[in-house]
Amino acid sequence: MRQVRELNVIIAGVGGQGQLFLSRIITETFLRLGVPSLVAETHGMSQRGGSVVVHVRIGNEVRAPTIPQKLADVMIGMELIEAARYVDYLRDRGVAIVNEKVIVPPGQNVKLRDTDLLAYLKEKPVELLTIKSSQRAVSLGAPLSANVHMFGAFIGLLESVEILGSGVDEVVKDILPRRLLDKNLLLYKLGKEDVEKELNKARAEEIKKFFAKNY
Amino acid sequence: MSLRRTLGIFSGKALLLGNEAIARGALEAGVGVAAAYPGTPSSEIIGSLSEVASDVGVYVEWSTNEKVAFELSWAAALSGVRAITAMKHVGLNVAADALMSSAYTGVEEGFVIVSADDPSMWSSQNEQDNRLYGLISYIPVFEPDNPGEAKELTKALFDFSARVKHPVILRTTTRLSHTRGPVELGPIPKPKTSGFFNPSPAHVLAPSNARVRRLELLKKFELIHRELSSLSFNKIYGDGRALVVAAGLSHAYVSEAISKLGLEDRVRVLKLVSVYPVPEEILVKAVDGVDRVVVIEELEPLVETQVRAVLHKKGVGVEVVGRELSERAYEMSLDRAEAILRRALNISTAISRSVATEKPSISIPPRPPVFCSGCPYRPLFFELRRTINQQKIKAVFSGDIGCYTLAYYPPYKLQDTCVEMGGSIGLANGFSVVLRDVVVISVIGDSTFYHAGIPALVNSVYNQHPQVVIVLDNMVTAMTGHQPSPATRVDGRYVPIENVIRGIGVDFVSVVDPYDLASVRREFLRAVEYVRSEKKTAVLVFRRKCALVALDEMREAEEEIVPYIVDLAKCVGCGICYNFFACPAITSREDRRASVDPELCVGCGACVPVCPVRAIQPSKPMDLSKTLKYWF
Repeated sequence: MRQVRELNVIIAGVGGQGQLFLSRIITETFLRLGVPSLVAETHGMSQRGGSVVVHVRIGNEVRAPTIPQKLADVMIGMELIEAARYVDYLRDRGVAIVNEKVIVPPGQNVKLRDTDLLAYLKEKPVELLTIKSSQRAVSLGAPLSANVHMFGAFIGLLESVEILGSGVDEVVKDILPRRLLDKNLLLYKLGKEDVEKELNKARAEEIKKFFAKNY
Repeated sequence: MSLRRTLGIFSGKALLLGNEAIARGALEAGVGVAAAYPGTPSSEIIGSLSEVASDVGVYVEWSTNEKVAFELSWAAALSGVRAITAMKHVGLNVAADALMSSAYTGVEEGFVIVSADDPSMWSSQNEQDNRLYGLISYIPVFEPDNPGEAKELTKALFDFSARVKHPVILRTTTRLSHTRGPVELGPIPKPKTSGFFNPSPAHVLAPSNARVRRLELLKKFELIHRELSSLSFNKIYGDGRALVVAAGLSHAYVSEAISKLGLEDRVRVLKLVSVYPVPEEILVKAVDGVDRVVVIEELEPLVETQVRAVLHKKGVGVEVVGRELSERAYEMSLDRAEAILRRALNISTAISRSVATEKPSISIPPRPPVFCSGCPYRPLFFELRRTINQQKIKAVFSGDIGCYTLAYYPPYKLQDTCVEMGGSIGLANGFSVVLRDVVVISVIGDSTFYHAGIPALVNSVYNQHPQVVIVLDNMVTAMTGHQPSPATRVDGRYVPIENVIRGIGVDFVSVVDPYDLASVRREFLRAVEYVRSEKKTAVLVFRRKCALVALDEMREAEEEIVPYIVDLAKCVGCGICYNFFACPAITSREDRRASVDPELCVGCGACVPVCPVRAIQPSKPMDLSKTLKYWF
């Protein structure tokens, strides 16, 4: 694989969606490939169904634990309201991988629909890739594994822009938890396929150029 | 990777949380005793040690509060056993009495006190810079800048503390404690867990002895100060006309900002890990030949003040800048480090990126944390709010620290104060003295009750303060990650709250299941009536396990969890379930009727009695009473 100097990933979602687990399998994958990372996690109060953002910084030149606005290369948006809240962390032309799922904050009479949020994200100067991770996970009978589908999508993106080479699947097989392994491996594979379809629809060449320019 | 999974590995790198790295460092230093009361962001230090305690043979306990935990570990260190205690910044306030005296007694073996501060107040009531405790206690303070260094430093501090026979403070912040990064693993020796206590006047701080110890302490602290000059964690690197002094975690941001701005050949850096007291020798060496000193640190200008004092004393006439270049409040960031460097060094280059942040074209709703699906506090606060509204009860809710603080938010709005651990009953004592024509109600969780609620309740009973005390017993310290409280059943062993309360002399004690809305209402009204007529203290204990614990145990036992659904033919769209009960799993459809999200529903059934037309039902036939055992 290519030497990674600095790859900044924002994971945004609602507390309880498994952001910490997602960040751990990402960094463990890179560590096994010889690349260190720093992850600033969110614990405590904000985990109780609150807005949660995890800063994942991969690469040999990373020192600071958090990513400032407009310095993230990829955002993994696990929920649409949270994706909208944190989308400005992305550099111009950075990539947003977004799960088409809305979790309405309870008791606030919120009228936002997924279509409003998607339209908002489309206005932004970022490359938007939408996938249906929650739907995939629920239909496979593993509702808590939407994050594994998103993980597959993230890995699929990095493979297609050649930051990751082949051989990642072997590492992943070893990292995913033994519990529900078959379903998780299937979700991982589906995540990769789903993001590739989106990439073909989106401006794949532009995205490649973005990563080539920055890395 | 968790600390547990690294146990058998003695070389190579693992990804550990800052807190786990500190725990690993303690193990590699041969720690024998560890004790703490949980508090974000400190909890994973003792938490991860407790997971490996029996494998390694270390004594680890969750104590009732920080002072108790401090004293337990201090006694171990006094008896020649290496010890660690860890707490959040405000926890050290609770243990401050012990902290001060520990400097007077000194220790026989390594004693590391971890203070995990929370700049930006991600999970705290205040922003407090505990490096300042070093100043008042005469205990040296150290702060690392990444998990790998945190492990090495913890290990080194045990040796340092043992050598100078003095406690040390290891200070971290949220962004170190909760940052995961590579840590180099080393060997773990077999810990020494039993000691020997040698009686000495140094341990009896009667005034005649304390006066002697005070002079000893001042002498010893000078010695410690000199020793710090040889601490290898403090480093000088790079060269230029300006010196950047970067303290603790700030160094991580500063070093990256320097390389991003291409300033490597314009500045010399003094990376400081010993933040109090600042060693003089290395500082004097670092300022040699520079014409400007920039001090970069989080929160209070502690290092800056010391740098100014040392340079003044040594007659070094170089300009020092620091706190005036950035805000005092909130945590460091790459942006902030960059801005300080640019201002201090008068440079025009910037880290390249666009900075356009126009106002969002849609309004993004805030998402404060909420009670989890299944949380026993939700039906309780729902029913209390409804009863208070319907009966037009004027009440002041004196709240406390825990998940129930979330009842402050709509739709419940049942926390009028939230100040510090145990403050609920304490403030209620005072409110009941000066407020007329209102019912004073304090709300406190089981862990907080044992932590600091009991003295205030004794006071309330003895001095006859009319207040309703609501104890929320979910049988665990939930907010910080389910550490045991004295109410947690461990092999059937626990301290029953109602026994304590009756023992104190409360005549009105009632234990209620918060899912049982009719009983909640009845007992609450009865307690209010008792307080009004008898002018005494009444206590209601609402008991049901934290839903996250109950559900974990159900999943563990492979008990089927059946989500609920809304019978749309029955639902009238009144909105009580999604607007006032406000379970995150229940949302409103476009036509105002309710809908249950199967991804979020945990099948607890708490919403069933909330619906006036009984439209919410299990998605398939099930017997709720079969799962009752998991909840109590």
